[in-house]
Amino acid sequence: MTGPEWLAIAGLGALGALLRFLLSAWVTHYRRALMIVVVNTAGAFAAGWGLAADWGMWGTLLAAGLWGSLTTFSTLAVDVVEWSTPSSHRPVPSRPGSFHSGRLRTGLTLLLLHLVGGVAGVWAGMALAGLV
Amino acid sequence: MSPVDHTPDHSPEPDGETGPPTNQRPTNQRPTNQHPATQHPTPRPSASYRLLVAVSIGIGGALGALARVGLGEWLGAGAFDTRTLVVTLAINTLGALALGLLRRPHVATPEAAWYSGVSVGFLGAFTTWSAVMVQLALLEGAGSVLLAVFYLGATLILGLIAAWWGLRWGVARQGAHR
Repeated sequence: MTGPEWLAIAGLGALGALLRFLLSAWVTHYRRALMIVVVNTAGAFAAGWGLAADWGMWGTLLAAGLWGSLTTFSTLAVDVVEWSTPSSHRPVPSRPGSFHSGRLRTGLTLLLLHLVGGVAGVWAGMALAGLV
Repeated sequence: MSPVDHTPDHSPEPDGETGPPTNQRPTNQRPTNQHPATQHPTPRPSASYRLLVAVSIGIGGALGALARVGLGEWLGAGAFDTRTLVVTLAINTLGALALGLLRRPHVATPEAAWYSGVSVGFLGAFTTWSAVMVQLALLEGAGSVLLAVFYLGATLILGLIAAWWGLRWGVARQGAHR
């Protein structure tokens, strides 16, 4: 990889992280966890489109930089665990360290949304690239 | 009906990971089940503070993307081979663990901007969901459905265990016991 390509990945990585932050901060009345689902689905859609459309080097740079940084797995994992278990630093009427069935269901729903959104997004992107 | 009406009563609060860690809620939001002890108002973050948060997230995002791609290059992961799957799996698991360890209570501190840079910026960009989805599509396209299922299962199980372990032993838990 050349110097300009590394620079492009850095720039696109910064842009992806800022977009994710702005999207989650912009729609303040939505729960942040749901915005991460939207962002991850949109990123998967774009990555699928880029993969099928074969944009050459730009496709690789966008996939590695922009879509890679826009979407996130760490927040997904931590959100799902936090929604599934009573948080240690958030006062919730439940026994600490235990799984509550209602919360577990919510966490699993969130995980399912990420999964369905991601798979549907990438396949929709690839299908749309084939049509255009 | 507003989406707010559908939110569960015990949903986690947005915290310092996604924005300036102020306890002041926008006026268009309803009160939540936040503990009264944590509801004391704090001043609205200044423009310079918000700029510092954005800059730190931008720098963190650039470094996170570079670290992810650089690690793949350094370990010799090709475009879409098995080694790429292992590298992405390791990156996502490590990132989930780190974010769990760093997740902290919703309090305002001077270092909060840099915390956003590390959590939203670096760790958010270091880990990726789109690459996992693209790799799944490629595996399915190549007829390796079993490997795709195994890869997805490993990503989710290892990532959730790492996040759970991080939250259990991280800053948030220590802060709660202080």
